[in-house]
Amino acid sequence: MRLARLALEQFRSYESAELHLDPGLTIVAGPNGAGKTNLLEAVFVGVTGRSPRTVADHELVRHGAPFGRVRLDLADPAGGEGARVETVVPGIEPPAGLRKRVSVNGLARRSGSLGETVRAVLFRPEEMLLLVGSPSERRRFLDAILAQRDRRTARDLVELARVLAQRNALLRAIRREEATADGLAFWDDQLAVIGARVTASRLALVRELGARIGPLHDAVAPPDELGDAVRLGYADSLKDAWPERDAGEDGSTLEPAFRRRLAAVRQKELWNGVSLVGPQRDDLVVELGGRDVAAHASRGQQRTIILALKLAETDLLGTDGPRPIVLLDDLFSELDPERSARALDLLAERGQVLVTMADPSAIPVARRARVPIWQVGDGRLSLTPRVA
Amino acid sequence: MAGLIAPVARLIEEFSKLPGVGTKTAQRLTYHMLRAPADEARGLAAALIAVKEQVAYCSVCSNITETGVDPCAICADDRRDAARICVVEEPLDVLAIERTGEFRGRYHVLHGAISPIDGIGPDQIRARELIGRVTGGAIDEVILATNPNLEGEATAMYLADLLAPHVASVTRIARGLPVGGDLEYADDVTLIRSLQGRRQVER
Ligand SMILES: [Zn+2]
Repeated sequence: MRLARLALEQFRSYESAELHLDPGLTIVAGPNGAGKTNLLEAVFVGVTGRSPRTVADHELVRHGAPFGRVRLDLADPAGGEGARVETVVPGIEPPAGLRKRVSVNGLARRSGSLGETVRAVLFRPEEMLLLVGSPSERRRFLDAILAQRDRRTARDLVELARVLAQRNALLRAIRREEATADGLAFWDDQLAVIGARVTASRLALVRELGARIGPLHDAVAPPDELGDAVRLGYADSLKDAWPERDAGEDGSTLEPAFRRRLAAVRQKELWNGVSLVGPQRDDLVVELGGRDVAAHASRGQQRTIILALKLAETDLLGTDGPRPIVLLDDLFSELDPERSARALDLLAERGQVLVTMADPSAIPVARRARVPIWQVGDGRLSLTPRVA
Repeated sequence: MAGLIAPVARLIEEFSKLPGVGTKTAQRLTYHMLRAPADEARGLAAALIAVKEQVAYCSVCSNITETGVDPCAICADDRRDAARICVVEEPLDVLAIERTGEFRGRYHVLHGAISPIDGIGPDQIRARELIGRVTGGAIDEVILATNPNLEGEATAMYLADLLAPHVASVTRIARGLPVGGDLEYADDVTLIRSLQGRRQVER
């Protein structure tokens, strides 16, 4: 599916706005703070049902409005039937009974199943720090892909967060001697079962990304960065409780491993009052030429790898579902002109791309002439006439 | 709230303490009460006080009952099966099950579910009262009808362990597909659970 039209009502800085997209590249230009990022966020909310910037949905609603609405009109390039995806988000004081609602062609849907209708890859400037930032950034990178590919994993991720919050609260209560340790059994069980499933999904994803990243890296890399191989790995928190780690694919050994590891760290968890085992402690490991990239790769090498990771994400999402819409937020402020031109070429080959930038002159003139450029200002959108 | 006379400000403040009521709604309710006839205000005030003064908890099942009516109407009804107890989280759950007319035993209302985040552990739900009821020995079956979410499951697991030595049969309500639904549109977890909870076809 490709996105033909985005319509917003009472979303962030927009009272009402409409954006028509080309099947290829569409540019949104405007000064910083004008609301370009809000627009990409709106597409992402429409595609996934959640914001990449906040968990407090009411923040998405324009100040003072009872609710906000994002509508995506999708067209099937193959000539089949399109779809209308609508997300309604309650404001801070919504009308009685109004709850968050996601629908496709008017029929209510769980947001976790939207990935079967439409997908997106969002590339934010902060992600340029993906490799040097905290492990939580890299887990979020992996989980965002999983949540779009598989509704069961989408649900597991939500459930896992809830289990961990409850379990940590109980561990703290036990430490304060307000609860006894026998209440942990249920939450241990949930953590082992759901934790094993999420870990297995992440392992499979890292393997799939790892299988694709080599050629993509070489396609983005400038000549002086070629030669060293990129390797992806996954660091789990199971330590020696999972001796089958290197034995290959079979995830069925994970659940018993979780139980063994939980038993081993029980005392430490009670002292710390926090869960020490589980997907919330894991990390994506990236190596270049056999060395950890965070410590050893140059800034340029890291950027190349991050671009390759995002390309691999784009390709992977397209293999088992609708080809993703690529959303690039201010990418060109973070990359040198050569690397950004190569990245844009590679992404444009992969389908629909929506790009924000402060100054569209960063795009070569020949390309600009063929691309619709929307100007953002004062909460409004207007299409600038194409240059001849 | 500046500019408001004291009684109006006070009512707005009281309304905004209610769940799901923000300042704006509290203001709307307050101005509605200002315009309404005095009788309506008196009626609301009387109903609010009555709900606190005339409602008590049944000493047997912990469900709400009218003050002075203890045990409650269900516990006092000896046509009901005293050997079967259905355990629910809230008084509203009793109403829901009663509406079906399918259960003729008695209830036990926990007034909550285990949720460490909210500081609710086994001692904060009425579990001890339940054990007190079953240790008498005359109970054949306890049906655990807590909600099918994490907290409800945690509560059911905890109670099942606690009850096992005292009761012949501890059961959990089945989770299945909604009636009138299509398999195709059921979410995976519901489908998986209804497969796990499958049973022999009666013939
Ligand atoms: Zn009673």
